[in-house]
Amino acid sequence: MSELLDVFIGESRENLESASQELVEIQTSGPSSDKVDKIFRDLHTIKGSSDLFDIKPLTRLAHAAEDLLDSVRAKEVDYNDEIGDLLLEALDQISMWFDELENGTQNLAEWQPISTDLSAQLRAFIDPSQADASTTEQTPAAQADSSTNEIADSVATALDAFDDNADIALLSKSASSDLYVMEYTPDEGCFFRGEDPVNVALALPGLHAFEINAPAMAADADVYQCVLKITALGEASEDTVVTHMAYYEGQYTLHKLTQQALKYRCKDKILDSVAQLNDEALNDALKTARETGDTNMLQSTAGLLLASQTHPMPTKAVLSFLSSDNDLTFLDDDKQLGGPDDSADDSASGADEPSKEGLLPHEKELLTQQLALISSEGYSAEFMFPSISMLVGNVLKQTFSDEAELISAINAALEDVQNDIPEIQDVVETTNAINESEMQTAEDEASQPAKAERQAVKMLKVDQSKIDYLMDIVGELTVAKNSLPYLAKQAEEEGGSKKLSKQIKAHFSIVNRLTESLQSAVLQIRMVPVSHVFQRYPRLVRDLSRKLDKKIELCMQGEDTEFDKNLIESLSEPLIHLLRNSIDHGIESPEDRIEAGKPETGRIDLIATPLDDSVIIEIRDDGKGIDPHKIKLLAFQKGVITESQLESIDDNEALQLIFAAGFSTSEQVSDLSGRGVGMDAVKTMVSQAGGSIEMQSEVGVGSTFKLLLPQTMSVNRVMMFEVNDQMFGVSMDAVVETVKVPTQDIQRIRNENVLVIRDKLIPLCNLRDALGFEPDGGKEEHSILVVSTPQGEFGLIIDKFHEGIDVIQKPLEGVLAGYSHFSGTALLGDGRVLLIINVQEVLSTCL
Amino acid sequence: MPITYKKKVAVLTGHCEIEEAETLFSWLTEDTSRQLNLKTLTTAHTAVFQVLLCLRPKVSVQPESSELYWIVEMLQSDNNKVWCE
Amino acid sequence: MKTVMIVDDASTVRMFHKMLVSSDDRVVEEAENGVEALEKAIGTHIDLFLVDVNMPKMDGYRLCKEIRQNELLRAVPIIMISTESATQDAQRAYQCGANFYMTKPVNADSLKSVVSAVLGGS
Repeated sequence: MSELLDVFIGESRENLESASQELVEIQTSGPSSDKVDKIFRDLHTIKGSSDLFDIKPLTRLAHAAEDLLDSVRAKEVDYNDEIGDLLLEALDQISMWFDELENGTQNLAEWQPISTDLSAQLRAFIDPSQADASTTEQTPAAQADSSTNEIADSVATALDAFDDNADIALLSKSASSDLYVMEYTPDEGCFFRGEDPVNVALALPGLHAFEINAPAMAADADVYQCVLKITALGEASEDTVVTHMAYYEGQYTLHKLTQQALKYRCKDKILDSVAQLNDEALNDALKTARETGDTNMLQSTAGLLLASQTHPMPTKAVLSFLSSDNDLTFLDDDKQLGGPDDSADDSASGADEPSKEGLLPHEKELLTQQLALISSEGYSAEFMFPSISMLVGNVLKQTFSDEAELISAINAALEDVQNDIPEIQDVVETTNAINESEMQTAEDEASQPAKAERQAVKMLKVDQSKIDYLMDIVGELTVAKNSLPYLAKQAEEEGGSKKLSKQIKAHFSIVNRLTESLQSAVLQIRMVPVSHVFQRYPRLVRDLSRKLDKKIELCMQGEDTEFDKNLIESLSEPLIHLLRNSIDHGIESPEDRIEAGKPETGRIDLIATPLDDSVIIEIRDDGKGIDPHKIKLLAFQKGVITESQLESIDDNEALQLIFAAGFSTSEQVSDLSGRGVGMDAVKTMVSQAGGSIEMQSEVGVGSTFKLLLPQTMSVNRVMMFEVNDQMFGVSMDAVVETVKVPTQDIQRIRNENVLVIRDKLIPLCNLRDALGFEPDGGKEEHSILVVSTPQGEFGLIIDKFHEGIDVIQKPLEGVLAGYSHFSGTALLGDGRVLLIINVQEVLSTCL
Repeated sequence: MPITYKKKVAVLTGHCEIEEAETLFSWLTEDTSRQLNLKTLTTAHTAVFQVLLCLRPKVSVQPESSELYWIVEMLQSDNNKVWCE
Repeated sequence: MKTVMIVDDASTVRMFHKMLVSSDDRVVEEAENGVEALEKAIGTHIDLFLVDVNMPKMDGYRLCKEIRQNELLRAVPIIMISTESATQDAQRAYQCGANFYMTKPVNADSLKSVVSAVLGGS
């Protein structure tokens, strides 16, 4: 246990530290969505892993902080310093608790009130109207537990508020010890968080009764404000209920009570009802039951009475209670503390050995489930009988030759159990108690210097900025080495030393090789598997598809494929948009899918494959596909294409129109997909990252998006050129040739400048124009860079050519990031910054 | 599924989403004699239930789905309390 | 000697469940996803699968189906462990061939006693 705890604490401390740092930064330089997001994720991780341990107050506090951060990042709540301070306080508190856990000095009872208080303060920011409200009643001392037979006042009030006879009614329906009364008041704005309170309440574990308080609504009321108040009565363990209500903490109050305590409360009602009925048989049977403990007669008599007439409440409930198998010793007990402690006794025998021929805890559940499986509609003997009979065989120590034998054996075993004392729920109580004692032993272990050695780790955590710095130096080295050949030449020509020149050249090739290896190695340090980014997606898909009532399965492949850490985030954004579009608009609702003869569950495939220096990422869905006709029409309506184009373009070209600027097919801006992000934005993102995107689709079958992205910021060979006295670069891959032509050779055809080179018609693009410089009139000849693109060859009119060099291309940052004309920058040996143009983008503005 | 509005009766079918609540509310408040056909309704978002429970319109056809027993009871009786059977 | 295979993509969870389930007369195998689980299971004698739902490469539901399709593995009981507590998730697990369904975070003692019961001992 302590090893796991160590790992948890170690990891969580890191999360805490990172969160604290971000918070401090926010306090100095203001909140940014990145920072808020980071803190949110840190707390989310802490919350999730702390859940493995029995440290609920910590988990709840982390949850409250997480929820608050969620609201901040969703812009529902404005960040302010107060929030920052409170969050820091929460983080500090969690840190102190970690200290205690490490030393073994943790005291959960002490943690409770602190956690409740801080959590409430945090949540108050989310919805100030909830500031003083709802929590679960935390301190066990205030609860009815098996040692007192009284229910707390608050519980009693809540019960009575529900109904005068709610107590006896609940008692008559309950079979186990953990009962609850819940008051659930959803926030007014909860619908906007995607919450659906009524259905949440309907699904409460062990629900027995509920009330929905619905005030009258004026004609001008806001339908999307939730004004309902729900009260629910049921039986289930606190944990089950709290887990069920996990997303709704702060909106409900959970009152716990035990069946035992409820019995005591109803004692008078029961006795009074029986007296009123004045039925001789019943009175006798009850007397026998109280004297001998044998309730059989009582059960049948009460049952008979119940069935023979209609009774008013509370008599009906009383009879119902008496007709079931219940321990009635409370009738004769005078509210003694620590009285016949049924649950304690039961659980003792239940947990340790099977009493007479009884079953171990959970054996009953297991058997019941196997019975359910065999009796279900979809049961397939071939596939299921082997494991079911194996399981049941292990439990009952028998073998079975067919289902009939198995079924009767299970039934026989279960019947025996009905008469046994321990209920599973009682055992659950003990197991909770046992959990706590486990924590005790964990404390003992942890108090030893268990932390003495963190095992020798083979991983290093390194500050990213150090790696970036290393990269910069390598970059400069790469460029600096390039001057050696030139110097060698100088040595020969001007210095007259051929020998020296040869030596320099020889050394150059060594330095060159070393530098390239160094560069490669440093780039490798920054490579991370795409699973880093992919792993968020299943959750995203689940949540979104649930919100839309669709069934969608996400299948991912190739998550090991590696990617430069810096570039990986640039990859994530377009992917999320594409995924959201698939879920929102691609995959149909389950009903539509079935109608279309497709399986109910839609499928999205996300596949990453390395290809040379790049990675291909494919997102494929089997949804309704994109209709080229619709696209064409919409494009025409939006003025993206002309009428003649509407006629002339084929289906494939039509599909590609979704990438056109200003185009969005979704008529409703679905707030699930964010701004209903258009494909053009996705395309831009991909281009910025130096990649490309393709799409194929078939109506009714599905759509596939293919992204091709460079894996690293690898060394690029770039051709430098000058425009307006500024240096630019273009990827050497794209360059076909360079020509200098006299002005008169340039022809104008249909409003475009073109050049004919060896019978090829090359459209020209004047980079001065494209880059926004003043035109340079009256030149006699022009320098033209001929580039090749998937759409064919084009010529770029520039001022002057320069040489090709090796550079490490960095993506655009800061102010420049919005300029789609450039795909990156590179640092020159002399400190100048080279802007590397994005050929596709530049051409598209030009032509 | 979207609600079908006839002259005096609105027919709710399948699952009614949150968006339906607004139209339903206006439709019912315009003329309080209008009724609801819940025959094939299976589930609904709280917002829709809220409209029903706050306005308490007459139900011309009760839902067939046993899952909705609770709202049937609530709308028929005076209080909104239900015991699950 | 009974062998339990724990299939879950989170190492902390595997570690935790392994701790709960280990004993002198048991061997615990681990796998990160359905594919690895099948690879390791074929050729070994497994007495029980503890399967998480959400895993990359092959999720718990598919793994269940595969196990039930496989003649050699068919008779092995499967306990599905998932974060989802909705009835339809449990139903789906059962439709795919699970024998039992538990929700995360599992109650430590519940898991221990369920596993003991399924393996047929104490």
